[in-house]
Amino acid sequence: MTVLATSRRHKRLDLLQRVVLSLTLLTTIVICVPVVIVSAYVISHGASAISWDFIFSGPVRAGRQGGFFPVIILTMYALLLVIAFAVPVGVLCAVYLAEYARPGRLLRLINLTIINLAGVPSIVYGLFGAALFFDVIHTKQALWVASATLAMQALAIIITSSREALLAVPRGIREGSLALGVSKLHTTFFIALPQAFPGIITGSLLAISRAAGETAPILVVGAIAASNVSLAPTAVVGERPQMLSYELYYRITEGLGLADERKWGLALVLLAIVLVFNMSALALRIKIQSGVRRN
Amino acid sequence: MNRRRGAVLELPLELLIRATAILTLLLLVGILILLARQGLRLFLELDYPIGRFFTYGNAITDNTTDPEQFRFGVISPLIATFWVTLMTLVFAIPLGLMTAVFISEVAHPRVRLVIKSVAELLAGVPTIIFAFVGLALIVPRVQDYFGWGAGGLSGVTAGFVVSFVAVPLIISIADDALQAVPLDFKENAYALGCNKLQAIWFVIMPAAISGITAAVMLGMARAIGETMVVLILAGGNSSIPADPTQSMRPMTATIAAGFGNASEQSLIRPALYMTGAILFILTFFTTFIADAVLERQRKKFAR
Repeated sequence: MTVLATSRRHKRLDLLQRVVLSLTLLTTIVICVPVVIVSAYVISHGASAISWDFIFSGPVRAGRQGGFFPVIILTMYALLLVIAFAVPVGVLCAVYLAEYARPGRLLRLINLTIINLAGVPSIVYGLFGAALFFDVIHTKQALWVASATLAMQALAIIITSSREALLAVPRGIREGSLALGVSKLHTTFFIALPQAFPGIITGSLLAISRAAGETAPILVVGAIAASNVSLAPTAVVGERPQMLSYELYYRITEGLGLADERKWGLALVLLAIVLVFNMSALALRIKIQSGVRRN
Repeated sequence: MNRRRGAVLELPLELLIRATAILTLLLLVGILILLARQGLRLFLELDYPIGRFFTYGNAITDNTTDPEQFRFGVISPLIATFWVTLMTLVFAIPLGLMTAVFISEVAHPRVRLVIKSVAELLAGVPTIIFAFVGLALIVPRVQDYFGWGAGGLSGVTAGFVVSFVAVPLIISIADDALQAVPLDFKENAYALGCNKLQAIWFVIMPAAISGITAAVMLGMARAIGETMVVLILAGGNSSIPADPTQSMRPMTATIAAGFGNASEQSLIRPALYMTGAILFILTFFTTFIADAVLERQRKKFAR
């Protein structure tokens, strides 16, 4: 009797377990679906728009015809500037956190700051950029302002990944260098940092990928739609920001219908650029991790 | 010789390293101070009644310079943000936590790595592309089946799409929390005759509860701050939304929609700075508390 009751109870438990665990499998599949749907949809609707002219010529008739070459080049300039602004500051800050800071209140405070910087919404960085550059310093709207704004947002990612990379460098290597009488600064920059280099690159790639897709902050700091401008590097100070992400937003809201293949072509170019950076970061990290495991 | 030359550089470089660390601190504090300073001009210099800012039930982003004509209250964007965030969590919590349980406790470790990579790819897709695909695929369905909001543009629509932005973060942190539970917890549960589900539900999840809470809170912060999806899919109605099926305009979307054409003397500019400052405070405290909770979990298992 009791044996029968417990075995029935076991059967019910088994059934419940099977149902719930199958549900978790189902949600996992659901998570994978949007990646597939988004890329499949963008490719199937946008691929037909991609042509030599779409990539390598300037806009004609306010972007209704022609291509988006100036936007693509200016986006690249903007991303290079993001790296130029954010990587030196981010790496130096990581050096402080990993090599110089002593455990204590200040270190805790700065670590907490970095976590919170990562959580600040992108639109708030945009507002801060606008307030700082337009209302306080009184610069005019330019591509470098958009880059500086995006760089502030990129800082948290670069600091975190560089710090992790530095902390993963074995202490023995540093101690060996210090024991030979090499100064701490020299040891940090010529012994520890080169070892941490792949990790720093990973973080920078992730940061570029994020910055390339970011739309809200550059909307706030005065981005404009595609137009034919000088593409000399001086454009970063002379021209208002034009970036692929904003261009896509502008085309979506322009109201010419969603079936327009040029919009999807633009989405495809943006997605390709972002995912190339993102996937190389992912691949590099997997390589680093497998290297660590082998050692 | 070489070393002495290095030594001259030593001190300034060390100071520079310390200065950059302080710079991050200044950035965070600077964001709040500058936004608040620019925002408070609205009440102090431009004579807009502070009571109207906090109680008026609409957020019209007109480019006017006359405080009498200006009709902007922060309450309706705030409520819209609440609805979209709530809807995001309704979709993202079950999806994110169940997936985390699956990859951490059920699946083969190799499957776990694959799903984590997929989640990272998902996190990498620009939100403007999510918004665009959502506009083409989800909005017409919402309109056909439910008729919500403005032609399918509603708080629920936006919340649903934002949930795919929040889910990767939730999975990653909840998975870390579940992985941090010591193996002997599970072994003891099995030794007492628990099956896998009982071990997960009664032992592993309670042990990881701080990390799971933090995961949900960080997902929430992500949803509060998400802009492009919400700007394109929530509908854009600036009055107070009574329920999430209506067309609405959350704080982030209000800022994005209004800031572009705001002239420097307009009232809307400081009003949006003020809105941004409130948004900053909201996400700051959510992130701050999530981190404190996470720290507790870390201490619990640090042996």
